[in-house]
Amino acid sequence: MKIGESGRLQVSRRPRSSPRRKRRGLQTRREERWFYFFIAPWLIGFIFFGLGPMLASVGLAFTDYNLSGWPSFVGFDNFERMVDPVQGPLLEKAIRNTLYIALLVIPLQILIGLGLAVLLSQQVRGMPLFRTAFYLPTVVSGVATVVVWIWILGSDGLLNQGLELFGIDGPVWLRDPATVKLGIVIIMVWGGTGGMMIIFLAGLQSMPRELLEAAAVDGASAVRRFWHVKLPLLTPQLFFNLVIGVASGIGVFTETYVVSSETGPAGSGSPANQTLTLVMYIYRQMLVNLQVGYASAVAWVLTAAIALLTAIQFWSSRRWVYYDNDNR
Amino acid sequence: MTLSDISSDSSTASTAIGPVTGGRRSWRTVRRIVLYVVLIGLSFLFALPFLWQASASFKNSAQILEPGLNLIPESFKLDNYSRVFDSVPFDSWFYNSLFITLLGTLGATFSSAFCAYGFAILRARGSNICFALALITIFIPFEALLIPEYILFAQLGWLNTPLPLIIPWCFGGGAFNIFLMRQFYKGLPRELIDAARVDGASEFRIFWRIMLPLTIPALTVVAVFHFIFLWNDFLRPLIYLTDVNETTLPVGLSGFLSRFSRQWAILMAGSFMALLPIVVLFAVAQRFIVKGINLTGVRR
Repeated sequence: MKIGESGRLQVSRRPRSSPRRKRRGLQTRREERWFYFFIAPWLIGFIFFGLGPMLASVGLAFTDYNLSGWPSFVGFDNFERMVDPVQGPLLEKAIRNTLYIALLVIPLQILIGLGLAVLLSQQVRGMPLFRTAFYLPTVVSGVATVVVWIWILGSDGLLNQGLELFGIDGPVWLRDPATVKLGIVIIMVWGGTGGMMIIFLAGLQSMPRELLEAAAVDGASAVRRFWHVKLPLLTPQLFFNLVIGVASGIGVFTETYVVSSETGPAGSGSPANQTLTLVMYIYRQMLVNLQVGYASAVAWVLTAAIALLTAIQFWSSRRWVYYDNDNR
Repeated sequence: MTLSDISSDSSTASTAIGPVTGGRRSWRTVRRIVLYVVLIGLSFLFALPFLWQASASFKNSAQILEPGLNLIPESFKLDNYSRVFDSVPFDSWFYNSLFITLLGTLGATFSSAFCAYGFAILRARGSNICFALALITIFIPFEALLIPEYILFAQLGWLNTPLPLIIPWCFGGGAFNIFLMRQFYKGLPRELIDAARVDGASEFRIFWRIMLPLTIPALTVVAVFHFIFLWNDFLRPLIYLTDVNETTLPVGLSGFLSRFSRQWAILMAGSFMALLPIVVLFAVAQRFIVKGINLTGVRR
């Protein structure tokens, strides 16, 4: 906050008018103009690609619009459709699928990411090599890696070959409605864990050594040191990973879109609507069914849900996130 | 790094806290051996999909379907690769992806650095409100903007052009990147700017001649993360670029997958080529990525 402490700006607040004050005032105004000059690109972008579209989206949620002609106002019809017997069940299915995937993926990514970070933080030789192996999936996660996973989780894929060693006859994971979501969870855990690990590792490596050594000297066991010293110090990283994990878990799209093309048209939610997630539902309503007004209403419910979850996390973070005042 | 390297180092690598007795030392050695075995096993598991993908891209269909984990192909034939280019406009996809990713990264990096200078250095009425607004946009899910932005770009006639995937990044480069750059500027010595101002340099000159050169490491972090993000981006190109010749690699690959369903050899060659640029970038820039995360505690 060096700017606030700069003497020059405080002087300008002197009440008496004098040539000197005029000059300072000019200086302040000059700086103000420069400020708006520098943030102009962001401000224009915010209005045209952020605020404007968001307001438009709120408006669209109350209209019937099929991308041609003009939207017509329909009041709360779109919101009523979300719970009516025709559209309701499919939307409910999409919400259930999204929650199923997110509630498995987020804890698994965080726990495995934390575990790997703890292993790597023990002064391991060849650490960069291991770090690369765990982090690379996050860097490249996307369509190209889902293609590989479709084979790995296929009928004679690696996973089933491995299960066969234990005498288990595995399903065709991504074609069977009963297992397709588990398959997607496996793909997402593989792809997202490394990113969480890197964050935890950064936290573990910047931890004050004196604190850990003091705990060890006091005779605290490794387990106690982890629970009572390391974990509390890692809560900022845990919080960050949780916020990012929830937003990206609920926004799942790429994996389900590609996997659905195994058993039906891409983005269809196939098999048996098991891969139909909320974002895919919005995508389909907008571009396949051309129900733009209804899709906007659903998008707003999703946005509100994510905003609420984020707000809850921020609010609760005051109770469980420990910030070291020296660093932040 | 091989197995023998690790095991020979394992006894010396342990850093003991407090006195170490003979029995404790052997217990420590056992523990470290277990640690390395677990780490090597897990990292192999994480790397396995890539290894398999790379090796399968050189095999023929019969060899791929052979049971067992044959990671070394019998020969390094490029048949699958040439078949990819023969059957789909892979070169157009690659070119489109590269074009969009490079320009989008350039726009985002430069414009976030530009705007961050205002937020970090200059004082003005309304600056706090503007910065708060910028921070809030980080938490607005992309899904909320999907529909109105699609309509906006359709009205502008930008569908099936790379513009919707490049132009928005040139206006601020995303609040996340602005925030990142602002943190870097805040860490620079304030005297530098004051001295330049006394010398009569304009704010733009200070930004261009002093701040930009000093923040090259930070710019690299932003650029690398944004490049990776844009290269893997799927939903946006999927809805904006529906023409098969105008689309990007991820979207092209997803259609390729349905068309060549179960023809693993060609699928693996195509998807492996799509990954290569990002893997190369990661290998070259890994230092910067890790440094960036360590400095800011965040990632994209």
